[in-house]
Amino acid sequence: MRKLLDALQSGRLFELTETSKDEAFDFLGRVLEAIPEIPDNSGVVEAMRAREQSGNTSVSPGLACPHARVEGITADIYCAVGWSKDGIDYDAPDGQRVHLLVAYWIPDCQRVAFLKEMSGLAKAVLSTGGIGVIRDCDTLGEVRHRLLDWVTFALNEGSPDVRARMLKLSEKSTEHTPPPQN
Amino acid sequence: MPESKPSKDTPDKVTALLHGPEEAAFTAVEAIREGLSSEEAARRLEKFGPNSVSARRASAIVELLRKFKEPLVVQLMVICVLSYFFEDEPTKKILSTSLVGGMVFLSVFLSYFQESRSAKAIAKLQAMVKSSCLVIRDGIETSVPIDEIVPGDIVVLAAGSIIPADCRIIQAKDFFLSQSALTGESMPVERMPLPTLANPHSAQECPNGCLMGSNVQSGTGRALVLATGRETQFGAMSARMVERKDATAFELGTRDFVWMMIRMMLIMTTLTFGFSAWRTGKVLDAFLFALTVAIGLTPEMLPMILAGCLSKGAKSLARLKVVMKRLDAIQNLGAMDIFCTDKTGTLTQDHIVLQRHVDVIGRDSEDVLRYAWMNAHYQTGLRNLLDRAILSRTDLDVERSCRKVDEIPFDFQRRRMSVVVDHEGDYQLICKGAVEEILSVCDRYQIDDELHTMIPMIKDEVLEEYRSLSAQGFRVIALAYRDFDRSREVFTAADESGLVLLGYLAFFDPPKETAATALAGLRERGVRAKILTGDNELVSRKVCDDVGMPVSRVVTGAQLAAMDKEAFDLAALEADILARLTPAQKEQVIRSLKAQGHTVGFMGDGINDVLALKAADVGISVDTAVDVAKESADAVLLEKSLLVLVDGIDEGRRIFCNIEKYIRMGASSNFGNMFSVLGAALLFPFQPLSPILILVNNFIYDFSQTAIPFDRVEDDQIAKPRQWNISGIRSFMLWLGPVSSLFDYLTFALMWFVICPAACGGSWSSLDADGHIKFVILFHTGWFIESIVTQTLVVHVIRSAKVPFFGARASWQLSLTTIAAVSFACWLTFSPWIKGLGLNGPGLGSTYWLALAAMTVAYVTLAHLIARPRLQSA
Repeated sequence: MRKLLDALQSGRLFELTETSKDEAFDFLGRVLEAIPEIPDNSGVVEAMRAREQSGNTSVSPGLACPHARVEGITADIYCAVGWSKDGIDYDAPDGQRVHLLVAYWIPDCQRVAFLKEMSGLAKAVLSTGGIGVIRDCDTLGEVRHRLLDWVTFALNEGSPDVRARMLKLSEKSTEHTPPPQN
Repeated sequence: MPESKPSKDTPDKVTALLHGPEEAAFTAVEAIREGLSSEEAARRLEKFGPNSVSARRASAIVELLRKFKEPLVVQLMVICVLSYFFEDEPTKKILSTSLVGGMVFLSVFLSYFQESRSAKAIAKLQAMVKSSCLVIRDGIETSVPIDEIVPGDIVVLAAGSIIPADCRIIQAKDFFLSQSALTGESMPVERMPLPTLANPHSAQECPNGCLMGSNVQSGTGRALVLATGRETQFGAMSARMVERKDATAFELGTRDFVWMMIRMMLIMTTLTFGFSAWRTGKVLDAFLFALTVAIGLTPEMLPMILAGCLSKGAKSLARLKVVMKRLDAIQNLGAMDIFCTDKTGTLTQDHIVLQRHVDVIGRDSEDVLRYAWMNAHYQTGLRNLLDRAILSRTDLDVERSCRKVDEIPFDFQRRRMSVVVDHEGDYQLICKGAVEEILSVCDRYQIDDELHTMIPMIKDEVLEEYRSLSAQGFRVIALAYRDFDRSREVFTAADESGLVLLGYLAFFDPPKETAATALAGLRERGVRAKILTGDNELVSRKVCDDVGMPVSRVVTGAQLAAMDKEAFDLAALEADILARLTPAQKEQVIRSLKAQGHTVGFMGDGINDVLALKAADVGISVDTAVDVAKESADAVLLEKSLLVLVDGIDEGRRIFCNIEKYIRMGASSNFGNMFSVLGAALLFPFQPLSPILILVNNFIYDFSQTAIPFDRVEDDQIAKPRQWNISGIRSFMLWLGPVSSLFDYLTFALMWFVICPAACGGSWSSLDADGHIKFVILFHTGWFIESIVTQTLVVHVIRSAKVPFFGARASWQLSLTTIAAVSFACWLTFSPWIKGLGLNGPGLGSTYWLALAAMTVAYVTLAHLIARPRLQSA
């Protein structure tokens, strides 16, 4: 959830005035492209749309995480957040409108960080009453506060769920009998 | 699939014996549970015959008699009979009949002996691949060759056993069969000694049936043999499949050439008879003369040369452990310009290996390997190829710290299986299976040692790794686990829920080590390779990548099925990979390529490849193939190395080069000679060569050609596919024939105007009857020698585009026979013992010999200049 926190601290939380998915993608894509660390003309919007075509990126009711994956770049993950009071028609499998879009730009080397971020976000949303707290906000400031609550939850107790306790076994060793010495 | 349909009668018998009570089956085949005695087995072997589906080889007499059916041999025999009846003079009658009979003998017996020698070599190699099976004989388990199994035997089966006949299971433990050779279905089926209750459509559906052609994947069992050999379902199927193949490119080419020569012979003979009868006024003499001209035009040594060249090739290939089952397929190997291959077991090792064990984001993970190993190690059900591949990767020390608690076996609904392991106080359920099925029961995933919640979007993300591995051609399964407390001792499929996705296992059937080099060798030789497989396109593409085979177009069976003929032909020609093909589609692709003028080879190893093997110009199989595939193939590779394919192609091209030498000579030199005879019949008041001399000439010439199979071939001649080119041969004949004839006419002029008048004391018109006889004998002698010399030496011209004798030298055998032929012909004209032939060498004089030497040099030079561009473009 640190990437979401970075976005909030860097002022990359916006209200989305339009309600179409395409326009939301265009807007958030441009916000990400404006980040100095992200290379120019990196086609963020196109990459986000391409990912969306292979599967809907809604994470839980009312929340979606569109993202653009890039190969061959060593950089950090960046994120931008869009809030829509009325909700965006996102074609989500649950049929609900999406009120919060957390868009990510992910270099391929950061896949682990991204998956952890996603799992943390999903768990925080589900554990703190769902998207309702965001949907009911009236101002961007309120949204920011609720998001910071999620981040706090995730960093304190949310993710990972638990540490794995794996069975550890060693390979059979071939025991050699030393040859008799003359 | 057409080949999976049982024949009408045989399966009914087997199915009926599978259907009733077990005791009824024992009674029907007169068997007891303790097995047959050796004496009874021997008696039954005598009664039912060997347990083999192979076609029986015809007897030596039948094989020999078949040789007499060749059109050229029939033609010679007809001429032989006619010359016997129409020749008046007893000496000439015997001599000419003997000479023609000698030619028949040379042609038929030499080709027969050549073929039977190589057949013996092949049989020796085939004996190396005989299989055996455990049966109960005299109350004890005994290993006997599979072809000695008889109905009523009790066979003992274990993992890896081949089912040797159609059997009924009477004992089984975890007994799983692969019936892929019969049905094409790769998933094993379980068999148990239950009576079949419902009416099954076929023996394959009976739960207690194990049919010939299947093999045991796991478990042990005993089975009662119900039917053997051709009485089995597999035998009935095989009998239909080993029926005679279509005529190959080589057979069609040979046939075209022979009929071209026969047509030419009929025209020339008729004209010669007409002109000769009109010019000499002696109809019978003209008839006999025309008959001998017919012999002169007949390439009667063609069967022998073909057999000699092909047998030599078969023996060379036998040394490379390649069994050539049809001799003419060697030439097709050389003519092949498209090589199609099934992938599994031919290009690949047919040996699944665990290539990668990765976590959910594709990083190598030892945890994944360890958990997969424990799952494979502890499961007791069907241990398939994937389990074996996992187990072969490592060997963990589980005895000291682990205990198996329970197992949830595999089934085709869940498509996964689990074991529960007790490790130092913890229970862990380890589950592996199809990726979609595993993901459906996972609610968390693991990265490093952290567990995270699985949400739908993350499922998409982690599936990406699976898609990526699949796209690279791997067969992928997933691995998951879950902790349980120790209060449980029994687990069910319902416990496969709430699992943690740990990672993926990626398997691959690696290509044979020699596949890349062999395919590169094919490309260098102008042979284009194509993959025709029932497997998917991604796996096929990976194999192509691994063996360095360029892929420009991939077509699937479904796409082919939707195409019209034109699009189908184009796709068959353009595509490098034709994937997901049914057996019938493989055959259609090969027929389409053949119809487009290509000589097509196909290499396959399963029963699903049989139709394609039969349709191809040259069908190639491997030693590990099912018997019926080997039976249908023209060539079987006994070595794992595919490089012998390349050697085979080179050998095939060498052989065809040598065959072409004879054909070019036969076509052009004979044509030239007979063109000369025709002209001479018009120009001279006597026949230019007596019938007996034409026969002797032909006999000597034929002898000189017997070394052609041993001639060496230049490297540039085998650089690209060599196919029959009748128009090329005709062009050779029409250009080189008149050149040969030109020198014949020069000889005629020399003899008519110079040599004969000088030796006989005047020109033809000034001589009396005795003078005419002397004139004719000398004329015959002069042309006899010139004809033999030029006709025999021309082989050195047409054997290569390089300068004869200097640029490219013939083998010592061919040099020896040509020198011997020329020397013998010259000696014959001087020999006092062969008076009856009407030759007079001493009378020719030095002028003749000098002129002959000059004409020979001029002829060889001119022939080389004319032949060279044609040889280069051939």
